[in-house]
Parts: sequence; structure tokens; C-alpha cells
Amino acid sequence: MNKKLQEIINRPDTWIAKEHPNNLSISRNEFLQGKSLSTGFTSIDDVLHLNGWPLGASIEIFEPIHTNGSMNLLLPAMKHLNRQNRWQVFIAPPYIPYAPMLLSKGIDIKKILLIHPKNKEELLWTTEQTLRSTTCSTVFSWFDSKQYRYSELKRLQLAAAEGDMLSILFRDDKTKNTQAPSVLRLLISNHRRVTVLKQRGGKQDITIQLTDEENSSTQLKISKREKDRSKLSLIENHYIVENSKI
Amino acid sequence: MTLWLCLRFEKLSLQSLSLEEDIPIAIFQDQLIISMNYCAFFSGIKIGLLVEEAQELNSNLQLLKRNKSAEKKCLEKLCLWAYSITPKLNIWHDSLRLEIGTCLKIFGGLNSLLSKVDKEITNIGYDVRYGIAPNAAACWLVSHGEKKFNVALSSNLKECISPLPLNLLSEFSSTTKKLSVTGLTTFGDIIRIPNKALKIRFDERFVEFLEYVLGQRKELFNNYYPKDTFLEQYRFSYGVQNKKEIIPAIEYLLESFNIFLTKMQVCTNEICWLFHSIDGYVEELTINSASCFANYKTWRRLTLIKLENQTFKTTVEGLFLQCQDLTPISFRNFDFLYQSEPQEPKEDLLDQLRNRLHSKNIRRLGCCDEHVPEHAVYTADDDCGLLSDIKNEFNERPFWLLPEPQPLKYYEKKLYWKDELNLISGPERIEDNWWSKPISRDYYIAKNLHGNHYWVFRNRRTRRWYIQGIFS
Repeated sequence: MNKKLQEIINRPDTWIAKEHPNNLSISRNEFLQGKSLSTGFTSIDDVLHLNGWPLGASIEIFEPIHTNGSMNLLLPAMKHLNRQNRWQVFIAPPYIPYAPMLLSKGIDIKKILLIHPKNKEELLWTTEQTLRSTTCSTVFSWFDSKQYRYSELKRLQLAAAEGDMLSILFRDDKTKNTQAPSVLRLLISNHRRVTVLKQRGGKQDITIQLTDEENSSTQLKISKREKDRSKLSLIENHYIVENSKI
Repeated sequence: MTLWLCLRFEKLSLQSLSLEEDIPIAIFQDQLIISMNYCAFFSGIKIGLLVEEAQELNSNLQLLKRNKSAEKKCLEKLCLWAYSITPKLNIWHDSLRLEIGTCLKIFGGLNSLLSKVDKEITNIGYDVRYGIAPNAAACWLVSHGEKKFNVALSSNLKECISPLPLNLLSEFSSTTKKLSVTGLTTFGDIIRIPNKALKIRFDERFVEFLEYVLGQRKELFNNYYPKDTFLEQYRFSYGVQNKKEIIPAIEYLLESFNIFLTKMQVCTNEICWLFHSIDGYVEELTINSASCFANYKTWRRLTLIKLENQTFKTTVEGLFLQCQDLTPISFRNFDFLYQSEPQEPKEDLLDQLRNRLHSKNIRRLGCCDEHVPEHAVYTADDDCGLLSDIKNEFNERPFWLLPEPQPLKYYEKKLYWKDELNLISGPERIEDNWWSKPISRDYYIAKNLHGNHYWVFRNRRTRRWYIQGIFS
């Protein structure tokens, strides 16, 4: 295949018509492996384009102010990324993360940084710097209900694209109708009710109601695409064996 | 074997002020020309000319007054450079004297050492003459020989210094004048006279010096020791207010600082910039780094980050870089077998954030082995003393803890926090601090109409309700 065309296909934001593993080229599969991280919730993974949180891209989570209930969705990913010797940054968090709870979940709190910017400019600067730094595995940034320009959010998206971290921007649900360059936008309207507002390369306007029974597994499940890829490699191996017999 | 190398900077008075060669420059002292660059030399200017005569020869000639403090600073800088060759050295007149006999093996012999020294000095941009002799006093005299490299061993030392004029010894000018009256003008003339006869007639210090030169007496050597602090300045020739114009000066001083750190094998985690304005006002800018291994790039980046927020009340005339807290480098071992990918140090991000935001706005999370929730969590601006290895068996605990418990509205046997709350689990009793201010609470998990969960408690003493945490 043409090299330039392959590069375009490899981009995680390129939409492929049919998502059957046989339709995806091997190199794209290989490329996309490691570009996403399972959320730890099967029902959410199933609707996400990369079968998990896209890494190296900005994700927006909208929720009503003072609710702050979405961290449960991120705990499995946070725990997984906590194994890396990198910072997990909370920028302008609404409250203090309860350290004993994090410890009980196996999260090393020494890797957590809490940053409290004084104003909007500092918030944007801090978020951009942490996204550009290779020393962070996770960046959670809480935006206030002020207006943020498209260009400001684009800068953050470009900064996130330079790295491989999980980058989440928490925003007030009143701002959900504004334009933004984020790869994924989720709305958490009620308890454990997640709506995919936008997802690059995937389906949108899907609502998932997580039941109280559906808790994240301690070990992150292998994402569907990784499973498909392993199936594909099995088929290929079989094919090579068959050919060698001939 | 002791062997001394003298590096004599014959154009020090000129090159300490300017290394420019494209325009004619001459240095004067007492209205007489004492040094000039090649451009000025080719226009006919010579040492000993009067300033007016030199100006007549070349109207474009730039005349600079000799600056002895600039020469001294220049030699001190060169000492720092030479300190990496040998620890035994000092400044003598316009020269550096280095004991090289003990370090010849390290550099692979005399020729290899001289070629290294010459290459580095040429790169810096100075004109230098070399003198090699068995003692410190003689090597300086030998450097006045006709060649660029002049070598005198014990066997031919007298032969080498004999043709040199006595008036080289400016500190004994009265003695050399007396000698010249009697017809003794060179070292050769003096060496022939017995020491006893010289001692009776001339200055004892002068005779002592001769004994040092000839190796008949051991010289008390004042060794150079590098300073344990760093202070260097950059003077702008005009007032500067635009920050962009200050950046080249910052880079220049940081380069010099970096050389200092390398040569001295020291490190620091704090540097201080002093901006001197024309009216004498000094503004200070302190840069901190969490890592002691900060290098030129890091200091430059941190300085520029902090400079963004700096405002100057008046124009800046001079910039000083100061560092007082230096610690010896502790060496790190690298793994030979496993080579991990080079990664940015984690402290770099902290440095960046602390220099732009205030360090109190960057917090680390800590945990205490306490029953009362608000006492179990704390934040600090560094990780000193942070505990994180406490393992407890917990019931359900919230993700977020409010900085302080907030009172809940209790109306008609119902709890309200923005919405109505219903208790769905509990109570879990937490009692503590009985020895001072007793705490007794019953904790519950409450749920609002939207399904969000909260951690609330009832103070058993006051019978009031509070919210303390938010579940995710």
C-alpha cells in the first residue's frame, strides 16, 4: 500500500467504514494498540471508537457543577497508569482527593500532584505545560463555567496529541453546546448515566446507564480491538503454516 | 618531577576589554599606547606612541583606557579554566603559572598537554606565550623568550634566562635601575656575581627572587583556590526595559555559570538574578529547582518562565547572576545492563510550575493514620515527610473530601444539600480525640434525587448534620 495512504489510515482519528478486524490493516491495528486504554467498564468500552479512553488526545467530560461524580469512571484507568513512574496531575480540583480511599484502591499517592491555578490564564498555561511534559501519565483539569475560546482548547488538544497520556478536561454541562476540538466528549447527566456527545471516528449520541452492579474490574480487561488483533494474528499464523505446507 | 608551565597573556590589557580584530583598537595608560590589536598594528601604531600620535596615524582608532580590574577578572576566569588541568596554580603579573609535572601522565605527556592547552586558549581567543621551567619563578621569565613555546630544563636554565633584560622585573624597578647604571642590564650579568656580594649591595628581596629562579631556594607558593560562590555581571551599554533584550545577557551569564559548575564539580538548586537600574534600584529574581542537577537548559527555561511575570520599574543597566549555595556533585551510577529510554526528570515539571505559579499552589498529597477523616489527609508543598504507606481496611469511602465539613439543612426530618438527601447506608461510628476535643460522629451514605452519593455525618454531641465527602 502507498506509504502516505497507510500513514493516513494509521491515524487514530481516521474513520474506517467497517470495524470488522479483517477490514483493518495489520499495521493500523499495531499502530492503534497502545493508543487507547480500557475504561474498565465493558459497556463504555463497547461504544468507544478505540474500545477505551483515547490516549494522547483531549477528552471532555461535562457534568453539572458540584456533582463531581465522574471520577469513578476514571479510577480504573488512573490505577492502571499509576504503575508508571510519572505524575498524575489534578489541576484546579474541586476538593481534595481522599487519600485513604486512593490507597485502599492501590494508588500510590506520592505520584499525585494537586495544582491550584489562580485564574483562567494560569489554568490554561498549567494544563498545556503538563500535557506537553513527558513526566505525566494522567492530567485531570477542572474548567470553570467561563467561556473558553476554540483556539485555547485547540492548543490543549495539540499539546495532548504530542504525548501519550490520559487527558481529561472536566467542564460545566452548561457549556456542552460550544464547539471544541476534543476527540471525545462525554456528558454525565445523572448518576452513572453517560452520553457520548462527540467522538472522532466513532458513533455519537449514545447513552449508557451503568448499573450499580457494573463495577469496574480491578484488572483492566483487554480491549476488544486487542482481542481482535490477537485473533487476526492467529489467522495469519495459520495461513502462513498452510502456505508452507503447500 | 616538578615542572612549571607559564601562560603569559601578552595582550591581556587589550584582550580583557575586547577581542575584536576587525576595527583598530589600542589600549593606553598615562597617555602612552601599551597594547593594540593587529588591525591597529598594521596601520602603523606601536607600543610607546603617544595617544595623539596614534590618532594621527589612524583617525578611526578606538582608544580604550587600561582597566586593571577587567584584567584581574579575566585571569580569574582563566584560572577556573586551568583548574581542570592542575589544582596547583596561581596568577602572576599577566600570567598563570601551572604545576604540570604531576599531571603529565594524565594528559599523555608534555606535547599532548601543550597542544590541548594551546587549542583551548586559541578557542577562547587569547594570544599566549608559553614558558616551561623547573620552578614557578623561572617559568615566567622563560616565557619571555623569542619563541611561542620556550622550554628550559635545569641543565640549560641559566643559558635560557641570561639574555633576558632585568627591567622585566617591574616590582624591583629601583634595584634594576641601579644595576643598569653600573652596566648590569641582563640576567646573565647578574648570575655571574656571587650571591653574597649581591646581598650586601642590593635589595634582599631581589636576591631572594634570583635564588628562586635558579632553584637555590624554594618559593612559598600562594595557590589559587576557586571561590565557593558565583557572582558575575553583565553591563548593558544602554538602559534596557524590553525583556527580549535581556535574554542574550542571561544566556551569556548562564553559559559562564555552567562552565563554573562543571569545572568546580558542584551543583545548586537556587540561583539569583539581580537587575540593577540606572538610579541604583535593584530588583531580585530568585529561581529554584527541585533537582540539584539543573543544567544550562533548565536554568534558562526556568528563568524565562519567571521573567514573564517580572516587571521593571525603570530601565536595567546591569545584570548580575549570583549563586551562594553550592554543594558538591554526588555521582549517580548508571545501569550497564539495562538502558532505559532517556526521560525528562520528574522534577523538571515541578520546577516549571513552581517558578510560574507560587510554590504554595502546587501541593502533594499525604495521608496520616487517623480515624477522623479531615485529620487523615493533608497536603504539603513538597514530599518531605509525606506518608503514603498506611494500609487500613475501609468501608466505603468517598473520592472527594471537602476541606471542612459543611452543615446540612435539616427540615421536617429531611436533609438537604442543594437537593434532598436520603440516607441509604450507615451508621458507621467514628470516635476519636477523647483526650482533648472529643469527636463522636455517625457517618452515613446519602443519595440525592439524581442518584449522586454523599458522605454525611451527624455530630453526636451537637446533633447537627454535615456533609464531608462526595462519592464518585
